[in-house]
Amino acid sequence: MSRSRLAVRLAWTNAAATLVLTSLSWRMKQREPFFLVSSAWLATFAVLPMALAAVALVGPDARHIQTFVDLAGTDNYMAYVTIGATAMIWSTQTGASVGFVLEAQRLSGTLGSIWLTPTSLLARVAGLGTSGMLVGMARTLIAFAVAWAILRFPVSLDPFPLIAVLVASTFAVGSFGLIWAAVVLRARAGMILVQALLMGMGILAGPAYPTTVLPDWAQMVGHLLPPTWMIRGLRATLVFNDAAAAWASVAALLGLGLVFGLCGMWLFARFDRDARQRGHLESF
Amino acid sequence: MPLIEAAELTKHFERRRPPRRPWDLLRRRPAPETDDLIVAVDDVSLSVEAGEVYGLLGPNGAGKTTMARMLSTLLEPTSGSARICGHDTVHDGTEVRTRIGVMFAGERGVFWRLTGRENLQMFGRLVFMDGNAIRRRTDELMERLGLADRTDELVESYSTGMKQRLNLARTLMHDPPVLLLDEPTAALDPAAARATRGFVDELRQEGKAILLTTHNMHEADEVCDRVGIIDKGRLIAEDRPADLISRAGVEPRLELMLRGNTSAARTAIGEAALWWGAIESDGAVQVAVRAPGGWRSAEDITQRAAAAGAEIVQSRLREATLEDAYIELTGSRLEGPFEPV
Repeated sequence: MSRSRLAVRLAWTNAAATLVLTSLSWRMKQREPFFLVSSAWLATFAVLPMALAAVALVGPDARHIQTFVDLAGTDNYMAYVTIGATAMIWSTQTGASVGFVLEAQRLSGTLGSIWLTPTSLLARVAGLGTSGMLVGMARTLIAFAVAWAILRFPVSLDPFPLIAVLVASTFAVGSFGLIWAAVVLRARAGMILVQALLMGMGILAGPAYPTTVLPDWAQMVGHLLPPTWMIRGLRATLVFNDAAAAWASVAALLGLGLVFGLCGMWLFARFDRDARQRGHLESF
Repeated sequence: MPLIEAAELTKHFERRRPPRRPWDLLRRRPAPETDDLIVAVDDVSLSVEAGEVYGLLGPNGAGKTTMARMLSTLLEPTSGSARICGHDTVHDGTEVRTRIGVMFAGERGVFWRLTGRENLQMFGRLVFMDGNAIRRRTDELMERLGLADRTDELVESYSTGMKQRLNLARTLMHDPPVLLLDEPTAALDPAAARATRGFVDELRQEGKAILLTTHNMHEADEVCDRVGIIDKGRLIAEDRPADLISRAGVEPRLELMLRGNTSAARTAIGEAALWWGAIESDGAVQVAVRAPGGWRSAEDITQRAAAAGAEIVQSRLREATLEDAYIELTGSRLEGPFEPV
């Protein structure tokens, strides 16, 4: 068999393995009692406090809204905050599902059996992480729908840029998660480290406020983070109805996704090798 | 050509100490001092042919699992090399992983929230099998391992033995020519352990090269064609079990349970034979002595004990075993009631 045909066959078999890993991981999550219901509640409870805090801050009849309008460029503060909060839930879920991929397998005692298969590193991480990303997506959509049903804020719906932002965001945040997974593997640290990184990212992305309230250096760092562009893109299409700004966010997300994806794979492969040398692969 | 080859494999681990500062974890550390290294495997060479079961015997911490991990690509050796079906375990990991089935002790290995069939479907895909082959192989293995009627049940409802058998099925899914089984009967009841040993024997007859680690002497004696004794990381002896016993020069052992005047009996026995060990319990004394002349020595020793005033409650002459050879070779013991003296 020629080298190119062999490469195509390998890519195909890896893709098939990724799909099966994804679908069966998703099935396992569904079989956890109350998993989806609890997930939806959890996400909703995370979104509502932010929206209610915004209500309290602008006061009755939105009397104190002018500062918000000056900074954010809209008086639709409910949609602005709810979108930010749901986007943060989405990005933390997506990032964490990839970032914790090793930890989760180690805890379930299946890391060795998965890591001893001939599938590529990317197929293994993507297959195990994608189901978590799907769960995150489901949680976020439910939380947004519940918040909208309660608060009834106006949103504009332009489906193409919206879908593009969601797809590009998933790619970018998932790629970013690869770097966390690599850091978890190298530092032999687990949940607490990734949670700290996620919370820090949450501050810089401006989930409940415009990033212009942050110091200049924090805004610059924020520009390198996928959630910042995800929130901007979603607000551009749902609040400002600005397709051009939404597509600009899509471009930024795809660029960041590519860079983080390549860096993440390189780092992960390097730290995987390092862990095999030090004997840390299953005991980080 | 051997299917499993290890040449001068050595593995050093750094001693794990708590980091002084959090960021030390992320920094590249200097090469460790010799005092900071644990030698887990030291210059081990071995080979296993097709249709052969090679037992790696040794106590906990001897380096057996480290050897299995290096051969399986999960761990890179500090020096030396290992080849599976001619492929280097460090530089040709993917090729190696398509040719091995690995089962580690103490690991679940399978997903408990999936059914047996779903688990095998998943692992079949991960070893690049197509759908038809996966279905065929799943039915065949579940039938062979006695799990056919539980195939579509969640694994969390399986007993420990069934989970272990499913794990073995996962290992065999792609019909690999090489199997690395790390204490495959640990945590199994005697019947399940016997069934697993029988299955290992069938796999040998199918021509697989099997490396089996164990600290169970009986298992090694029963299943393995050749045995390597590993102690403190070094392979100290390697041979067929029977040859290992004769090479170690171990002798049959007489075990007596005495009551009555046991102290006088022990003195009398001590004058006639070399002690192996003794333990006391419930007013009785169990002694074990070397009986180089077999039954003739045993009779002589028993008569001396009786003449000294001891009641012989029980006597048993044991042929030399692999365990005796192990004790002779390593100066330590793995299991059994008697402390050597």
